[in-house]
Amino acid sequence: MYSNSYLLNLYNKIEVKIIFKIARTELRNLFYSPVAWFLAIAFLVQCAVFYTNSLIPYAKWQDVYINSTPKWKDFDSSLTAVLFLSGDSIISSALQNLYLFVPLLTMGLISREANNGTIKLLYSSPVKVRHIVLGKYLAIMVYNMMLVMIVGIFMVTAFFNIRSLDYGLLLSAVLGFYLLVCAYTAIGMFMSSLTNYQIVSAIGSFIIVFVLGRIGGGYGRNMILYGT
Amino acid sequence: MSIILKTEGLSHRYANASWAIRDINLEIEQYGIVGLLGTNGAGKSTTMNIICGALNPTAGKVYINGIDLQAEPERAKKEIGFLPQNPPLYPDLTIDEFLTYSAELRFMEPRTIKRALEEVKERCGLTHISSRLIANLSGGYKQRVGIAQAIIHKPKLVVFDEPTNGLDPNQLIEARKLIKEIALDHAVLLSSHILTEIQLLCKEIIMIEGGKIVFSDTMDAFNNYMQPQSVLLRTEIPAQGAELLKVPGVSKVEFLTERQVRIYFDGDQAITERLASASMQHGWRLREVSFDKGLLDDVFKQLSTQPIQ
Repeated sequence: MYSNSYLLNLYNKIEVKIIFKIARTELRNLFYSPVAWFLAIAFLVQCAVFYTNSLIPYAKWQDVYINSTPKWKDFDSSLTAVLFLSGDSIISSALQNLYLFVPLLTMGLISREANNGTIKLLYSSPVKVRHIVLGKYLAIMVYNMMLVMIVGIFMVTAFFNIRSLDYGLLLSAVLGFYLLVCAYTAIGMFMSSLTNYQIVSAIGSFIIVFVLGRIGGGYGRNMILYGT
Repeated sequence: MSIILKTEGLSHRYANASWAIRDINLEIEQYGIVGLLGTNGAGKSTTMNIICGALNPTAGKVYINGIDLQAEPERAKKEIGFLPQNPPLYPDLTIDEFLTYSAELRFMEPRTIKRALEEVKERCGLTHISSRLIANLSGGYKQRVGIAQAIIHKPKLVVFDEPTNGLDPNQLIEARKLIKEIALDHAVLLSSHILTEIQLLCKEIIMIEGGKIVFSDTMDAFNNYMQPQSVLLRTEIPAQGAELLKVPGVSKVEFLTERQVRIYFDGDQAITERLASASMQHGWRLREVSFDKGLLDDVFKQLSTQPIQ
């Protein structure tokens, strides 16, 4: 019964508006401080390194094949899958390293309010706790979109470099990446609400995301990728 | 006059600690300043946090403008403006952005926000620095932004928790002036541990000690109650204690320094005149004589040992 009336309430214009406003202020806080920018730049550099790491050997092999085997047409596996999803490629490496970014991003989300004392402003205002939580989560979802766009840069370059690109694979990979980052940041935000110390919440979400990032790795991933 | 704030049996205890406040009953009217006086740790901030919804009471009820704060927090909180002990500011925002945000949090109509913003900046003297980052402001200006944040939505009840803490004398005077202006059309609840400040500003005084109300009445009643018991006398030539004791009404003489004396007397305020003539007579060359308002600690000691009124 609660969830039903809650969903109805969410369509209430005023409630949606206040969530957007809280999200906007949270984004301001995020982008007026250097943290968000530094993280984005670090992520961009990291992605670039991962992408070239998997791209260069394939370019070399292709060269060698073309020179040595005149009849060679293409690799017999999907080049898109190899460049974007295989063990040390851009998306799987980025997923492996998310535990470095997510805790830094989410550690202050709620504990900063408690430390600044601004939580009292929110508590003494007529907003509900769920507005605050949803607003902040919306803000972090928008930031996650930026991370996806950074990965997207490399997909656009792939569009120019790979003949007959597998769009479906890329788009589903991006969707999966986005949803996973959102899930991780939700965990990070929860950790941030548990303690007033930003570092403690960062370490907490660091551990959880690190462990979760390694569950089902190795064998399971290879099975999906190569269909064996 | 209608009652804006009413609390019933408000009690709170922090986890595993003794009661921070116990059975606080308050009633505050529509206009004017009510002072909440108490030593550090007496329960002033706890009371104010509960009134503003920043803390849930262990027991008791708060009614804002007749609305139960626990039952209908959204409606009740629209009528509250709160300045906690540390002003709740986002250091990375500008004054304009922050004040707009605080107006939006109070569900103000978007059309009215702009005017309210200009008005409140004018009132708090922030217009000329409105695009500065809050992180770069001085303490006095931060306090003003805190006050502006509390009144931007024109609440019926404004709660200031030690608003003049850490201000220099000039800022202190300005802040007091501002608070007096605010009290013209809002009910203001103000806390302080400084007796003179409360005496300057408030029409009613509530004294808390050890989490309980020990005194609650109008300022006039308080002043009558707090009749000075002693005068301070400063002379150029050291006065003789024996001669002082001969002055009618003097009960006890205490030398603070050679030239400064605290004189205890009973009742009669004409004592100053008699002291002045005694000084003339003995040639002490009187420099200063003033009523000793009594240290706050003495007042507290006196009040907390008496039965609650």
